[in-house]
Amino acid sequence: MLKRETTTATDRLFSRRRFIYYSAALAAAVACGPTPATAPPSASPSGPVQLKGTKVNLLHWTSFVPDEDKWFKETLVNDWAKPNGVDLTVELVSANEAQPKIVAALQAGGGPDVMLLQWTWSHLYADKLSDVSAVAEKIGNDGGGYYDVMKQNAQVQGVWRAVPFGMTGNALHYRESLLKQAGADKFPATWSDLAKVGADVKAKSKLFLGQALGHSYGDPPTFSFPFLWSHGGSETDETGKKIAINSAATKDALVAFKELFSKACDPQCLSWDDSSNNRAYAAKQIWATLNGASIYLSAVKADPDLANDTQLPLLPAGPKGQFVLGVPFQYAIPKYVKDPGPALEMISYIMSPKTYGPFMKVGGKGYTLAPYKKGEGELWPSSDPKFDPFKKIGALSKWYGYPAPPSPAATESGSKYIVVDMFAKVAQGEAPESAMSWAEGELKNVYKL
Amino acid sequence: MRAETHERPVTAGQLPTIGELLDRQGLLAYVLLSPALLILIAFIGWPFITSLWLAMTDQSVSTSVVRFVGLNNFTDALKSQIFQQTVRNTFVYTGVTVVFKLVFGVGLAVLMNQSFRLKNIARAALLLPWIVPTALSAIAWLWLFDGTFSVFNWVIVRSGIADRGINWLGEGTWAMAAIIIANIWRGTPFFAISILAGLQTVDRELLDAAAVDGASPWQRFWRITIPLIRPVLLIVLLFSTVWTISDFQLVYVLTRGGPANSTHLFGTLAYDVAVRAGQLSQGAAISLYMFPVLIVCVVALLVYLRRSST
Repeated sequence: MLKRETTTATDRLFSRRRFIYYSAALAAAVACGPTPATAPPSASPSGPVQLKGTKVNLLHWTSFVPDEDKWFKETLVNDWAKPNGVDLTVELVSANEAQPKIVAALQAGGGPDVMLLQWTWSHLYADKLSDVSAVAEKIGNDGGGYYDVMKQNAQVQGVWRAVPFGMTGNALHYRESLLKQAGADKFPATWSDLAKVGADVKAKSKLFLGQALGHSYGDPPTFSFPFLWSHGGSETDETGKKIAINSAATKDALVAFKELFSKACDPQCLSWDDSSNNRAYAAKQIWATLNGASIYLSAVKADPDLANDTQLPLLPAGPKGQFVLGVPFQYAIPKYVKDPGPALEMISYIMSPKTYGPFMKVGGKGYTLAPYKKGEGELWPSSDPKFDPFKKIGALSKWYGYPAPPSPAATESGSKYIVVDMFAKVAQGEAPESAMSWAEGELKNVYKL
Repeated sequence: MRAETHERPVTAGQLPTIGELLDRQGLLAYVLLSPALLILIAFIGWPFITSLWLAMTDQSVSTSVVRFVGLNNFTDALKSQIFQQTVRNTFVYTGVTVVFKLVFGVGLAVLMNQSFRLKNIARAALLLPWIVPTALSAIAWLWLFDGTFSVFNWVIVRSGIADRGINWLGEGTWAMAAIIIANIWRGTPFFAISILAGLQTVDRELLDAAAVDGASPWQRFWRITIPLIRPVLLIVLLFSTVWTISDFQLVYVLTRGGPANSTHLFGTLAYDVAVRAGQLSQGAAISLYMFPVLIVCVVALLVYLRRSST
């Protein structure tokens, strides 16, 4: 027979045994508690779209032009969501932070109903994105046809995995007075001339050409890739099956870049992200920089004298021509969204020329460019002649992986900043051959070639 | 209070009640430990096993069908020059910061162990860099190191030390120095406060006796104080090494691994590869390279502690 231990009444009340009983009871109560109310069944994708009572979560980037954010937060909600009875949530995140959110949502199988993708991300996430061909085709037709770059970015093997939203057109911002002070009467048309003029301006004004070359989504790649392409260099050949970065053309590009950077730029730009040059230009610490029109648009409000002195040409040409890499955006609907109807309705509303035209005017005034050709025609938002060069951007712009079609590998390479880092290495003093060879090794890993 | 006895004869073949089972010390220990174990398994064990599995597949954000690829991701990482540079960066960053944090931490702890006015306020203020969220303090450092608006550069130029400021975040070596400085600033208070706690356990009589025997202050510190607080030092070193090797926030905010990958650590590179480039399995493999290094640190320390305690 076992002898039991002696206990008091208080001991029994707070005994370890009772503690476990209470814990188990509490856990059971929580587990068996009232179940959360389930969402009302939504309309069938195949039937007419029932908007009233539905919810749409939109993940959008935070624009460098605050009026654009306001348009989504207020105008879209008031003009589309409320009249249709849709509970619309607009989540704004900075461009550099959008990708982690998107990857997490796609992997978890839950999150935003509509996500704004950048670059060629549609190719990277194609398997997890809904087919939006019908809506994309209709919008393209209504808008007078998409630019080739928009189709390349959003269409994967003949299927539209996203609906093109638009493009941030990048152009050089420069101060005309400083250019003239240095003896030049117009902005250089070629990279080699820019190196000479940039050196003269730097000598005269002590200000440099501020080109961001850090790990950031916009300005570093939109400078590096066009510079490379304009000298005939590229990551791969036209088929995308052979790494072509280690070439005489790339070497020419890097030698020309070294000349430009050493004479006209400044090493501090190696750490710059997309906002650094905005701040530096506004503070008159640099005389020129590549950027979206946000710098100019901000100056119009905050510093009219600076805005008046600012001109906006496209990037100069190289021996192989003039290239542009605008920052493209597309709306995608993940496959985990069971009823894509309301999301598609919202995208159709935003992208119809009737809505998009006013958005361009009220919102960005030329900061975000339309993905279709009516954008440079009847919808053109600005009466300011300084924006005229932006009309060419849609047609001139290329994509990650050019001259090959976009691919997941090209997108991965862009996300890893391999070409940007190749230029950054040369700016840091590394020999062009060595930087080129480094890039070749990294690209072989990415492309598995 | 009146004591009661609970007695129930337990005969052979009769199942014990739950209460009787819980009265068994061995079983009760496991029952009480189980919530903590479950949390550890759910939030540390399971993710770790999953990342091990992930690292041996070809899973990316774009793949629907996942294939087993063995150690390919690990060998592929070794071939990448960015990864090789990351390994070097991580060891330099960890080695330099831990040594400086130790030296500064001991110095500050000795200082704070003295009696002076407002001692308690000074001790509380010492902890500020440690308790401010890293991302927030990193943004402050970002402005301090900014190429155009750096306060350090303003002082350097205005005081005539140099014609132009330092390219803190735009040049590889200076960028590494910048993240090291920020890490030392942030991590030193942890060393100082922990070592201060150790110093306060040192018996004054031992130090006084040594002083009477003619030992100099340096001898007393080196021969008596340091041996007595060695276990604290080692634990602090271990924690700091683990945290520094796996650092992410500070570097991500200040440099994002740039310029040209010269400040990438395991954490930032794994993030870039897994999240930005969508190669989840490759990112997992890169982050798992930290594991053997950390295991060696932990085992060496635990062996040392066990030996010294016996």
